[in-house]
Amino acid sequence: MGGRSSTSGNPVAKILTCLVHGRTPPPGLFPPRMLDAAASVSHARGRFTPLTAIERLITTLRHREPDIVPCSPLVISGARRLTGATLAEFATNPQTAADALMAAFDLIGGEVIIPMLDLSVEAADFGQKLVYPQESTPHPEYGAPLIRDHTEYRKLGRIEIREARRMQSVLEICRLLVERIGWRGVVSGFCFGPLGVLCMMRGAENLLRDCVLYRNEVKAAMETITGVLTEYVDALCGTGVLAVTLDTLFASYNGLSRELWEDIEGPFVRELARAVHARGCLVGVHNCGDGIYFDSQIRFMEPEIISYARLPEDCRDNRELKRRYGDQVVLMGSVDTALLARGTPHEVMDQCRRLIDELADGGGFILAPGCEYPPNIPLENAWALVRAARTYGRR
Amino acid sequence: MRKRAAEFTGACEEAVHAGDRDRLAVLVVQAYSEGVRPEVMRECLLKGLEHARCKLMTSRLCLPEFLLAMDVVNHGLERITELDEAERDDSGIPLVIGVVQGDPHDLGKNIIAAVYRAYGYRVVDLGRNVEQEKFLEAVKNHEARILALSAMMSTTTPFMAEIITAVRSRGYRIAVMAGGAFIDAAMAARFGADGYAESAATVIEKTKEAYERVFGEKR
Repeated sequence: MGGRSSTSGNPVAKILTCLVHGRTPPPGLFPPRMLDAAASVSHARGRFTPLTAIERLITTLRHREPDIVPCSPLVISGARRLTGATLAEFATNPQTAADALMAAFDLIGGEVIIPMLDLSVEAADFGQKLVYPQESTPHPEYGAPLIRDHTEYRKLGRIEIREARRMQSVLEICRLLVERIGWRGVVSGFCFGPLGVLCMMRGAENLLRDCVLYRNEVKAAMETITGVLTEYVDALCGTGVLAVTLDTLFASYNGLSRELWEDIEGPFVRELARAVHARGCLVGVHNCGDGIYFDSQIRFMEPEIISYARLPEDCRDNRELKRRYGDQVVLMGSVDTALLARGTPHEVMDQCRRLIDELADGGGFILAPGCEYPPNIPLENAWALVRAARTYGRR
Repeated sequence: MRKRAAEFTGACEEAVHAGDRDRLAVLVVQAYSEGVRPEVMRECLLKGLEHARCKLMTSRLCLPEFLLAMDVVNHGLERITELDEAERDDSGIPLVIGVVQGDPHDLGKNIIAAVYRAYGYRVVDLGRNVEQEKFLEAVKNHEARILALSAMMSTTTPFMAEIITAVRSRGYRIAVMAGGAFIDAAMAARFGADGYAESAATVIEKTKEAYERVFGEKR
């Protein structure tokens, strides 16, 4: 969010419209200096009185220390446990999902909600058949991939967002959450990166081989997908969310080499990030891979936030990560999801404390799991995470 | 002949590194016609794969390149077997592998199965979304000495513990390996597994260690 100001239209009118509707205006609509001034005021005020969630986040985003470290337990499909819905209902009924997510926000706390239903949303709308287990995450019917061989990449057709059932569901969830959360927190939309979407339609193993063997065919499909996703992220911004998180799993050792990623996905996610920034919204990147390419992703997307699970390839520990990238992006993470599943609240709080010690100095840090809170485990460790932020993250 | 084998090794490594299965097939046929023994050729191919695996381990090679290298090696091994049926090697340790019930993600399992195969294990691949009973049947029918379980989702990981408990309760003497995105060594141990491997880069060493712990003999 350095000095970026690429929004089109009259920002003042847009800000006023948001305020009239009781919504927080996208941060990119404000001149950077104004945001810095607001962050400075909040930084000072936070010493004496509690800040609101929005103030806390803006202060963090401008790399100043708020009153306490903001957090998000990323309880997403796990939220359905609070309302008694099944995972299949959560994934297919926007009202059910919004109810569950708001229940989790109200009961557990945190400052950020990311309504990520599952990673098959976009692929399903392109025509990939899905399976919706009652108590597990929806996924493609892997025996019936939409793209069966490399000759079919070029045959992938464009789709209309207004007819895209699952993407429309997510848009509806975002609208409901923005309306209900008001000033109490921030909602971020979520969009799987184009290579991830392609992976859901071709299968990971085949796609990885094709990226080497049939690079141009893969890129042809990426172009089609990106065209649709660009409209989708624009529509997400239109729901009133303040940020859109782009998932770029393949920009890591678990995916492609850096060179391959920069050639195959980099230019396409750049387009998506530009579309988000053009609406004044923040770009978040989520990547829970191993050895992720922070620098490449920063170069291509200029994100404000990177949510990560594991250290990037060029950092040995969190302190080096903070030193190297802490002034370029807000770091969001990286509580171990395996620990959330098997650890005690005490162990979770202990890890949170260490992360806060290593990363929260000078702002620019949001405490969160490295990936979604595991959907089928008790929620006590989500409370532990939020409690740790309130206890150890207090200035 | 030793010189010829050395040449073959070098050429194999190049073909594996380049992901060039056609070139490797030609090399195999050529070496066979010149009298290089099939077991020597297998060793050469495994050296090529080992080289690729070391690069993967030290992050000098990424997954797509490793997958292609593995394809080439497996293709080469198949060609060797075709050329010399009599030399078919059935002495490998029987190993059952699969992704647990409810989990459709088999990329990791496929890679690990291919690595096991390439390293001479007699692999019985049950695929993905495999029910407990099928694992138990396969272990019994194939007299497996290693059971490798994979689960990539937090929602399916608990099935791994159930399978291990069932295997133990039937009294099978078997080394159980666990792997997958969501678990770590501590969780695998808690489930009762004998070993945990983070990736294809370490799976052979970790399996050997687990095997040695269970059977008291080296492989």
